[in-house]
Order: sequence, then C-alpha cells, then structure tokens
Amino acid sequence: MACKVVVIGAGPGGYVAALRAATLGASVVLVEKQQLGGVCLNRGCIPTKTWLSSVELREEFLHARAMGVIVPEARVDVSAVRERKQRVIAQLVGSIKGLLARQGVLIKNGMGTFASGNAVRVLDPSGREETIVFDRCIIASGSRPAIPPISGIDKHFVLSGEEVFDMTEVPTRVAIVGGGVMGVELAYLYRALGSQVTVVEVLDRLLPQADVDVSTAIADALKAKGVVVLTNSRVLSVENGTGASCQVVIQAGQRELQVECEKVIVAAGRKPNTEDLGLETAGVITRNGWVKVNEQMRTSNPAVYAAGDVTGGPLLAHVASAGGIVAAENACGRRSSLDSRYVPSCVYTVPEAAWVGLTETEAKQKFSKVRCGKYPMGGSGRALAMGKAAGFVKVIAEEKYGEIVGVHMVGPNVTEIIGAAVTAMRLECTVELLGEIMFPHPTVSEALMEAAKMAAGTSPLLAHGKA
Amino acid sequence: MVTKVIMPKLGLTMSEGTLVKWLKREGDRVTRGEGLMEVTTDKVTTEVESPGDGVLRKIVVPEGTTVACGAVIGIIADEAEDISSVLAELGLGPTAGAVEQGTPTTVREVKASPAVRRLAKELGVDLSTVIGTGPDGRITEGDVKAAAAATASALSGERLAESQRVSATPLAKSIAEKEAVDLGTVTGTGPAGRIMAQDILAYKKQEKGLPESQPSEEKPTVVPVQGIRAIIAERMSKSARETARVTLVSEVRVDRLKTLKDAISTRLMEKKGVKVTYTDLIVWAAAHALRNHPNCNASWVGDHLEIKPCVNIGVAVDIDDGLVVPVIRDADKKSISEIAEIRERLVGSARSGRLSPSDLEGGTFTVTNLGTYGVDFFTPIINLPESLILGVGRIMERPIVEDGRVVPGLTVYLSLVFDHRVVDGAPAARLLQEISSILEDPMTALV
Repeated sequence: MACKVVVIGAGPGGYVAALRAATLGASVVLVEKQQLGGVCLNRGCIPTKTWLSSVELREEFLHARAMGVIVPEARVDVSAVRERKQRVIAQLVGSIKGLLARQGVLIKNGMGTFASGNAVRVLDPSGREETIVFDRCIIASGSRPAIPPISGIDKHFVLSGEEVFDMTEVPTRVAIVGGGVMGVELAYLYRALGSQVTVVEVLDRLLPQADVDVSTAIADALKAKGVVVLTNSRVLSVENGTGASCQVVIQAGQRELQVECEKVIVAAGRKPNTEDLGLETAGVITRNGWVKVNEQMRTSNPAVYAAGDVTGGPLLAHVASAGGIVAAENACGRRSSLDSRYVPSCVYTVPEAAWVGLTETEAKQKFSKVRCGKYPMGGSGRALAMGKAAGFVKVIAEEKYGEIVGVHMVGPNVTEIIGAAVTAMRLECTVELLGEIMFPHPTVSEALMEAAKMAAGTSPLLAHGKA
Repeated sequence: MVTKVIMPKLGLTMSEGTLVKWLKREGDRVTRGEGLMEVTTDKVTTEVESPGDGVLRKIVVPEGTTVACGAVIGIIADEAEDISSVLAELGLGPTAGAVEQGTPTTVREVKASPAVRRLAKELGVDLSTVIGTGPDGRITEGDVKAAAAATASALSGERLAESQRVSATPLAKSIAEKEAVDLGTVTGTGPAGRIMAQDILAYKKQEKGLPESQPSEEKPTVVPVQGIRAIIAERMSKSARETARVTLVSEVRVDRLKTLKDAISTRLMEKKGVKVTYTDLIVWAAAHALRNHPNCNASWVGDHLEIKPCVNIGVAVDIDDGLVVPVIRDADKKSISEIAEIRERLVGSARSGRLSPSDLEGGTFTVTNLGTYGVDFFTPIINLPESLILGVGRIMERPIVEDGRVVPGLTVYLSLVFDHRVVDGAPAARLLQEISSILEDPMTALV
C-alpha cells in the first residue's frame, strides 16, 4: 500500500515536497489554508520581481539619452503593473496546480493542525473538519512578517513588506523599517516609483549579513538615487500627523529625527507559522520557535518532517525547495541529506547583488590564510558597453588548498551569474581552475574568471587583501 | 549509463569483504537505493544498496568470493547498452553480460589445448570468458595468463589503472597533492565514487590513527586537569607509588557507642549548637589510641623516621571540585564536643572554599568516612607524609553471634591502611585493636 503523506503548506517548500513524494509513489495530501505557491508566489519573490522589472524598465528610460536614444518621458501606471502582477501570479499558480494534478496530489483548502502524532485535522473555510491519518507528515507552513514592538505600529499607515504589491497609488513619502534584502529592494522600488524614501536600519550598515563591500556598493547606489539611509538607527514610534500622513520618530545615532510620510513599511524580520499547528500534540520540538530538524529534515517525531522557513534560516525559497525534496525523500524511505553549504543570496536592486559562501571577514576568521581577488565591473567590456559599469566581483579562496570559500558580486545580471559560482563551489573547483575556465567574451560573467585569477595569483592585476 | 558496483568499504579498518549473496540476478532491473547484495566482513553481514539504476548486466564476483574494497564486483547498465569495453577492462569476454531473454545461456565451444586447460584450472580462469587470440579463435597460454592478470588487477582494486582513471574533484586532487596522499588508495563518496575533498581529509585522519570525525553527540567532554584535581592526582599517585601499603580490616560493634552518642547529642546541641557525628567519635578514639602508639604517629623521611609530638588528625571532606583534609590539632587533648565543634567549622569552611593553608597543615593521621555512601570497607590512600589512614565504612545492623545465637548488632568496618616502611603489621594491628575497643566500650576511655 502506498505511503500516505500529508504536507502542510503549499509554498516552495510544501508543493515541491508534495511533488517529490508523489513521484516516489506516495499517496499525497497537500493542505493549504490560503493560496498555492505560498508567500513566495503570492506576496514575496514573484510580486517583488514583477514590480521591480517594471520600474527597472522605466529607469532604463532615464538613461536612454546617455545611450544615444531619444525617448519621451516614461511613467509607471500603477494599476497596470498591479494587474500584470496578478496575471503572472495566476499563471504560476495555474502551472503548479497542473503539476500537482498530474502527479495525483490531493489538495485540501483549509488550516491543518495535528490531532495526534500521526493525524492531521483540516478545518476548511466553511467550518467543516476532516481528520487525515498519515504515515508521514511534512510541515512547510512557512513564516510571516515580524512586526517589531514599536508604539503606533499597528496604525493604518503601516504595512508589512508583503502587503505593498497591491498598491493603488504611489505614496509621496515612505519610511522603510529594516535594511535587509527586503528593505533594500523596497527602498529601490519606491524610489524608482518617485517616492521620497527613508530606510531605517538598526545595525551599522544595510544588508548586514552581506560582505561589507556589497553593503557599501548597494548603499552608495541607493544614496545616489536620493534614498535617505539611516544606519545605527531605530524607529521609536509612529505618531498621527496631519490625517493622511504620520510622523515616524527615529533615533538616528545620537539624534532624534522625525520623518513625515504617508506609509511606513515594515521589513524587519520574520517569524515561523507554528502557533496553530498543535506541535505539542505531535511531539514536535521547536528551537526559539522554529521547528527543529536534522539533516534529513526529520523532527523530534520520527514520522514528521519539516522544510522551508518554518525550520529557520536562511529564509529563502530555494532553500525551502531543496529542503522539501530532502524531506520527501526521507519520508518515503530514501535517504538523503540537505547540503546547505552553498546557498546563494540575491538582491534585485539596480545594480543587482548576489553572493554565495563566506564574507571576507568570516573567511579571515575561519582560515589562517585567505586570498581575495576583486575585479571591478569597470574592467568588464560588456558592462561598459551596457553603460552599467558600477560594481565588482570578489572571489575569496583559502590559500592552502585553493578552495573557493566565497563569491560576492554587484553589477548587471549578477543574480544570473551567481549560479556559475555555486556550481564551481559545489563541484569543488579550485580557485586556480576557475581562473582558467573559458568564459565567453564579452560578458559580465567573465569578471568571475578574472576575479578568480586575481585570487589565485595568476592575474596580471594585483591580488587584493592577502590575510 | 554504466555504473560499476564495487566492494564497499564499510568500516575504517576494512580492507576486504566477502560477497555472500546477490539479491538480484543477472538481467534483473535494479534501482538506486534498493538492496543489491549482502557483504560479510569480520562476522558482520550487511545488506548493500545498489549505487545506480538500470539492469544488473554482469555479476563479476560470484557468491562466496572475498575481494578487496574497491574491486569491481558487478556492472549495472541500460538493457541494451554496450558494456564490452568495461568487460574488456576487467578481462571478461564480450559475450558475458548480454541479457538473455528467457533463452538458456548459449554454450560457446571452447577451443583450447589440454595444456592450456590445465593452466586455466591452475590460475582459476573460466575459459568460457576468455577471448582466444590463436588461430580460429583458439585460446592460447598467453590469453589465459592475461585473463588471470586482468582479473587479479581488477580484484586488487582499481589501483593499477588508478593513476589515469581516478575520479576526483579538482579540490580533492589539490589536497591529495599537497598532503602527499595517493588518490588510488582513497575511496570516494561522491557521485559514482568520485573522490571529494572530505574523503581525502578523512583518509588523512585515518592514516594518523585518528578516528573519523564523529557526530558531535559522541565527542567526549574535555576537562583540563588543573588546580585541585592536579594536586590530588599528583599526591595520590606519589603516595601509591612510594608507600608499602597494607590494609587491616576489623568489624567493630558500636551499639554502646550509639548509646553514648545519643546521650551526649541533645546536650551538645543545646549547649553549643553542634551536632556530634560518628566521625567525631572515631577521631576522638583514634586520637586516644595514637597517644599510646607513638610509632604510628610518625613520618618516613627517607633515611629516618620522624615521630611527631602532637596528634593532629585530618578529616577527609568531599567538596565540589575534589577532596580536602583539614586538620584537628591536638585531637588527643580535646573533648568530644570540642572535636565536634572544630570538625563542623572546618567542614563548613571547606565546603564554602574558605579554608586557610594552616587548616590543611601538620596532620599526623587521617580519618576518612565513606559509610554514608554505602561503602562497607575500602583501601584509602595514605595521606603523605603520614603513615596511616583509617577508612570508616557503613554503620548498620549486621548479624553477629552472641552466646551461640545470631543477633542483630550495630557494626562498622574499620579499614586501617599502614605504610609498612614505618610500621609493621603487629603494631598496626594493635593500634586498630585499641581504637576498636574504645569504640566498642567508650566508657572505659572516658575514665
């Protein structure tokens, strides 16, 4: 008899796990209380990138003259972008639905809760309850925005980063709480739409998890566009201003500032969706609220697995999908482990940023001898031809064996090039060999090879930063 | 896609394994992860999974054969895939491995002279698997020898051809080169047996005799030896090394001692707020006895003995970090209540880490009590430079014989350990006798 698998949550972790389990012969039930595709498809990755693509296009028009092209003034029709976003989402939801149907996955619309260590109770929107006994369960209920405890934060001026994509008009002034990837992308989006933007970040730089050079480059790019960047700062309160706008009180270093704006957008972290799952009933242990799993994505209940945001960082869709596959494979009797050594991160601003592995600081702490090669985008023929020469590619290798430990990029299309770096690292390419790989010319991707050559010491350009 | 099935290395020290059972036959479909064969090594039989998907085209090593780890024992490939080159590498003929669909295996006529057949038998070569290079496909001596050599090289692992054919990642090769590791001796854990960086690092550790890194739950806790632990270790081993230890054990009846203890307890509690313990009473008894046995109150100083003028009795106290022995000075001149008071103060100071160095100096005899831990008798280590130590065990009701009948009596085992360099058996026994009689009849010591 086929193994009965219940998957809770149909985001990039859940629906991928459901498909994998089905291809392995399991009988799968996928429980989702909202939309197929989860946050990624409906309120996160996809809507963000759809909006960003539209505003990027408008940005291109601003530089058209410098490229020798005469164009009329371009403006963004917010309703049209919103409708397009809906169409893109609908198309993707449709294709996921089709995939699931083809694999015979049964979809149940409702809220899943553990009734016991081997049964899930599904409560559908009409109030009907159904209990499903399972052989294995995969929890992929994801995460949601964490709203910091700032006074006034629940007033109607305040939105979470997930709620902005249905905007009907562009706010004149916007304050963004949080300078991580989401905050930075939203800052770029609103600025490109014409708002006055202030970003407030608690730590000492934007993109605090990224390499220092990446943080600096992106912060510089935003500032050059007119975004006000406040680091070492925190929002103290949101007060009522003149009705249509509010006052955001900010502790900026030693000073206190007040910024008037129409909207306050919170992009200050996320928390796991575990409160209503009945985890204690199933004997599933959490750590700091996130579901605790081992490398096989198994929880403290041997019949229950978990994948994606609900298990904790990194909170990325590709990590969720990879984890979903591992969870499904182990749930169905195959043994596999999640290799999370080379997880790429991307920032879809202009210029883009992308990275994988250790930052320069982390590398120098871990290894006694480190070699870095930083190749400026200005050295790339393609980047210059495109008129987009801001940025760099930095390759970090440890000296003893030539292992590539980190790659950091800022520039045009780097989110598409990082895959090459991930592949090289996963297949254990040494930095010398990466410097010898024949990349096509002229491309931005060549910069990866050039930076590797610099790190390996085989480049005519000087290597940078030997530890 | 051709997947070679190799004898797996199932343990750190495993160098060869016996293929006891094939779970699939030639021609069967196999999937990756499915049980393919059973391997025995060191009396442990393990089921081994198939490394790939496809059809088991050739069983190279029959059941019951022992081969080295890494040797090719089977070939998996697609049904109609050409595996002749792989077979040739292994010295097997081209007709071997073809999937026969329901027809019996065709028997090829083997052309070989009796001499060649004899040689084949000697070398263990199956003539039906050898391609003859002689006239009309005849199998020659050379063919037989080549087949034997090829099988031998295949069986000794893929080492001979290794230098050309090793599959290893660039990083693994870099590490191997810098660490002078021969790739041919490393088993790869990557896809299709590819050698990954961690395989070289694990191999290096194994070579050094270090265990491969274990899951963190199994690592022992490292406790640095320092402070009190180091001191205890040093002193105890010195004493055990230098003293000529002998233990004398006596069971002592302490009913009357209990009566005394109960009698003075309440009074002492009211008057001084101090509780009197059996240890206090034993210290008191030992102090009295030692006054009459000065040779036991002495130290070995190499070329002479020092007989100490004062009877200073140390009481062993168990504290968090270890063991300390604070000393009750002139114990023979102190009353039971004084001994109890001093003992209580010293134990309190010891447990709160407030002992001063002088509290620990000058001892001439030690009493150590493990009775509360259920120990009956034991062999404590002499507290140098002293020469004797008295171990006190559990005080409990035990059967004793009185007037030919077995009756319950409250007894304790006293273990007197003495240094034979300083004191002989009889004198030590006499000391123990005196301590015992004081405890058995404490009233006589009081008068």
